[in-house]
Amino acid sequence: MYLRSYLQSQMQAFQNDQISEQDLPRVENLAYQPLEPRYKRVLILLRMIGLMVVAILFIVFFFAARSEVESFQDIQTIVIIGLGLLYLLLAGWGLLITIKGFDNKFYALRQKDIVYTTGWLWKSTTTAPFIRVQHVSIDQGPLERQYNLSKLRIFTAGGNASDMTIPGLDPKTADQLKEFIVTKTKSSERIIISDQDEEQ
Amino acid sequence: MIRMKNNEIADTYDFTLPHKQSYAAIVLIAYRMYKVLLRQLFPFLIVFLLGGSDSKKNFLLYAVIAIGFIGMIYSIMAFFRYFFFIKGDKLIVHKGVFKKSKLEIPFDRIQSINFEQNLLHRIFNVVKLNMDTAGSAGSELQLNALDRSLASALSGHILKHRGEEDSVKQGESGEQEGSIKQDQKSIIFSLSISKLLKVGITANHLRSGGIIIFFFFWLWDNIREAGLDMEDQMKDFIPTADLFSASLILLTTIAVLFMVVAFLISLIRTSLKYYDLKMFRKGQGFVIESGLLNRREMAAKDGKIQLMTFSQNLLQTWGNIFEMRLKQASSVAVNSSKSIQVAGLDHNDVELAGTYLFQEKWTRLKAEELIPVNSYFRYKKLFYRTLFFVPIIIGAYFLESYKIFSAAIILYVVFLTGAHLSYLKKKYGFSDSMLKLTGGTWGSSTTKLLLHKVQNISFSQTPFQRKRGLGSLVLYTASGSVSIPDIDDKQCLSIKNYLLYKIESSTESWM
Repeated sequence: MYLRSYLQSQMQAFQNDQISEQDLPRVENLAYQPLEPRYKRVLILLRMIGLMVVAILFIVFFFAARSEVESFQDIQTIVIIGLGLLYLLLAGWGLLITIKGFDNKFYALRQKDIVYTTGWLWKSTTTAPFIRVQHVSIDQGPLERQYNLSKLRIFTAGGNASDMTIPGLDPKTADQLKEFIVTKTKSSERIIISDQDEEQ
Repeated sequence: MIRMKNNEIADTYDFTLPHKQSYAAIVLIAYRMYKVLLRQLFPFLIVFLLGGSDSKKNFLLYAVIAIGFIGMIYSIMAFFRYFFFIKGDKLIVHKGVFKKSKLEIPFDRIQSINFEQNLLHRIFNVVKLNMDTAGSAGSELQLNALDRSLASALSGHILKHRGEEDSVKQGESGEQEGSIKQDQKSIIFSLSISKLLKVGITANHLRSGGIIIFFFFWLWDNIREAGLDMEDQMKDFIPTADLFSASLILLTTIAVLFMVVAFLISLIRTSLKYYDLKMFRKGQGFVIESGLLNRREMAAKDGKIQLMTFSQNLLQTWGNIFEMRLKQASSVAVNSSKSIQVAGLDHNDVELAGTYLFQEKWTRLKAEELIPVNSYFRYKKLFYRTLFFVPIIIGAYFLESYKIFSAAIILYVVFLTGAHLSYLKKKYGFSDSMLKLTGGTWGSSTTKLLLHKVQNISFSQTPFQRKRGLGSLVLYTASGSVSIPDIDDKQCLSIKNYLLYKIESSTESWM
């Protein structure tokens, strides 16, 4: 009796596998949605602010540490020029990363999950099934408010590292997405509960 | 059956009337307070004892007596101000010496009830009741000392009344949490004295070595902060060892002593922790009892367990014993994970525990073949380790510092071997319902999880991986994540699709 049910379950699993190989919905063939173009400006602005803070700190530091001895002053000038060049190089690289980074941020909504992909050189794609979503929130920072943008955050029980954040959304889109996900999580919950009732 | 028994006991107590804890609670409250005080004031005590004059020592004596007296009064007051009763379907606790506070805990918020006994509890024959509540983190309630019969009656009462109101939950969790001594349990394994010794000897001695070093630094820091310069004091004790041989002997003695102490500490620590370890199967979960001075009883329900890991360190590989870790999600709302650890299992015990938890899925997974990760996993590690060690080795050679040179070469070889071994052990395998992931460097570990317990999945690719057509997967569960690094990117995507399909079509609950 046990053996038979075991074999049956094996068969079931096998059949599932067969279907899965051919007809599984594929993450890689999705039509991805880009973020709002004005979010690019927010990102660049944030990067510029960061770069400016570093530059100001450097300048203040070097004026404060200016040596009295003349022979040291020459060395200091060389060091400052060298660091300045390095700074410009890194700043340029940072801006490139920011712009390219924006061009590579996409999200996609499917019937049963949401996909967010990010990164130009270091890519990562996270997928959260609605059936596992705990709650959804919409955040707005001060700069984002200025540009009329929202941030959608999707929480699962997988811990902080796994929570999905989709920035640069139009507030209306964010609301719609939230609404959509929340209804999906609720309906999936209902399915689970009714299944349990049947078992009992 | 079980419910009947609970009923009988519950009837002998009327929980609507306020109950105090057992009188032993006074001692326990005082003990806990003295422990905290001692930990805080300990550096000052050392300073007084080492460098104090007689008048200072007298002052210290009076201070200790005064603090002890005040502490005792505080404990007695705390005891009389602390009482609890049941009102409707809520447990209500009043407490507080200076600031009174009232806690209300609805029964349906209580996730689980565990009993715990340390040495003091056992002397007075009382138990500590831990209640795990769903909700914000840290919202756990502890009743410090209750008579055993009162404790089991209380937990029985709560579970019974919660069960009546919430029939769905009853099936999931009602049975396992009842008064523990009364339920039917089947034993999975217990640790005999000889096995306990084996566990102690094969414990992670490096860790206790680290703890010793950390402790000395901490001690040093505290004493200095308290105003005693140990370096001055030490000069009197240590002879000026400018003779090379003398310092070598001293160093060797310290090193040998250090190793012996580290070994003894981890031996004693593990022996105390795992003394008389017993693992039971009860209802839909495991119960684990262990400890000599601090006897603990922990429960892990099948539904809550997200990850099961078996591991061996190098010594345990030789002794052929395993350590098991059950990682469980503590509640829906709280993300913190709880991990239960059991040591000293042999191969059969591992099989038994796995079969209990996963039933036929366990055997099905065993039949699946393990797939190794790409050799880029090894190459990457070799590359970074070379990048770290080779400059040191070359630098040490040119600076003619041969001690560092030879030490660096030995470490380099050790780390290269480690990289190779960890590549050989990193493998993964799927069945239709489970994932198995192996790893480890000198030892080995195997993690198993049910596919439908995955919360979300992340696929990532570095530029170097992309050039080779590789990628990594991270699977997040409610009690930590597992990663499958450096495998073919097409394989990654098909695994991801398969997993998503499994999660989204599953009707089983992850908790």
